[in-house]
Amino acid sequence: MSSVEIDVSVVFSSAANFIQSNVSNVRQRSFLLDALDSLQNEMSQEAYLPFIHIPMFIYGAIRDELSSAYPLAVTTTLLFLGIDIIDDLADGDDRKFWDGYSRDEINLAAMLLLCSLPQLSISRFNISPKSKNGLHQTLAESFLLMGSGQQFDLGFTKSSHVTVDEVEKSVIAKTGEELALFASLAANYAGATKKQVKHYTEFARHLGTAIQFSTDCYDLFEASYSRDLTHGTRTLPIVFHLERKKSGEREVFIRELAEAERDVNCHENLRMQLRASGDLHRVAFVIELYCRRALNALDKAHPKELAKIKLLNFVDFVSLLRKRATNNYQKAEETEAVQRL
Amino acid sequence: MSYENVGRLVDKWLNDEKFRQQLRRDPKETVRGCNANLSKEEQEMLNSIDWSLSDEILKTRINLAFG
Repeated sequence: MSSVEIDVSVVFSSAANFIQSNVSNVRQRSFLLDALDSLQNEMSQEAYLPFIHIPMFIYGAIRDELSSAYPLAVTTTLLFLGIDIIDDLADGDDRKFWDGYSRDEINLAAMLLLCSLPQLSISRFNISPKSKNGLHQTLAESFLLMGSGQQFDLGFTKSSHVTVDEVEKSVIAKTGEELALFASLAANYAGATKKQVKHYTEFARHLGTAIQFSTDCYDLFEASYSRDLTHGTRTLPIVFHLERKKSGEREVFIRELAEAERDVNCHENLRMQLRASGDLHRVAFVIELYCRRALNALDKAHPKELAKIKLLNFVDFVSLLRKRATNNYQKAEETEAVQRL
Repeated sequence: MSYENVGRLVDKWLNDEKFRQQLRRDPKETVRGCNANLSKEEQEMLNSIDWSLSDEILKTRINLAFG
């Protein structure tokens, strides 16, 4: 492979051009372009964008080149944006670029991003009609699984009875399945065998699950403001903590969670309790387990070497506890950050 | 998925300084000696961990990965 570097700005500008060329309604087009712009700005500091890098590297791992994967990355970017908007609507996380648009309009825009634009993009891929059909089927089946995951999730908010098992299944069915979808589209687009598609999909599902648990940890333990505590979202560290509490203490903690929804000043106390009880470490081990599963699945897929290294680096990036033998840049950055603490 | 077995080991790691020192010296033997009834996958995972990690490093990694 001549280059394993991905130019993310090309993906975003191609996606913007796609929206410009295909969305005729001016107001809808404007909203979608603002949404895309906002996503690009938010992600500008990130080393890895899962919805671009994972599908493109998987394509590269099969075909040993990346340049043909840009149309695929445009599709997965549109899908990611649609899912992101739906999630924000469900969580009540209003975004700046929503100003001036009604919730109905935002819903409609999300629908275009999930049910129309990606399908149009796929229809223009330079592959056989049978392969295109396969991609559409993959999309439909995946949405059914993600819808089921989201349904679970809606039942867990503010709940005092959710179990670790239930949270895990919900995360696998949502974020895990989202990344699995992108991987499956990539592997099928690249003409992979059924076995390869299965292994790459599993790799991405496990990695997506690890990423979500890691993001939940960041929200709870490191972000200046915890959206999950404010929304009453029951993430893994919280449920681990609840499951280990005795009956009376459990009720006290649930009351504290309810208070944290109303008052951000209560967040630090909850964080201290969760940190002191070791729940951050417990979740770190679960993340590690999913990273290990991702690595085992990747191994079975027999990826081509240069893209394989990129995929391994991605897992290393997500992993919190693995030895960092090769990623010297990240080691240096880490050492510096700890010295600043 | 039950994390009982891994959870017990995590508890030991968090609360037992002697166990932590043993893990730093010889992680494979220490994990094997735990009789923690771990699956092959859990064993592989535990063997790949950097047991010298402090809380500060863990927090930094969360920040760097998804900050």
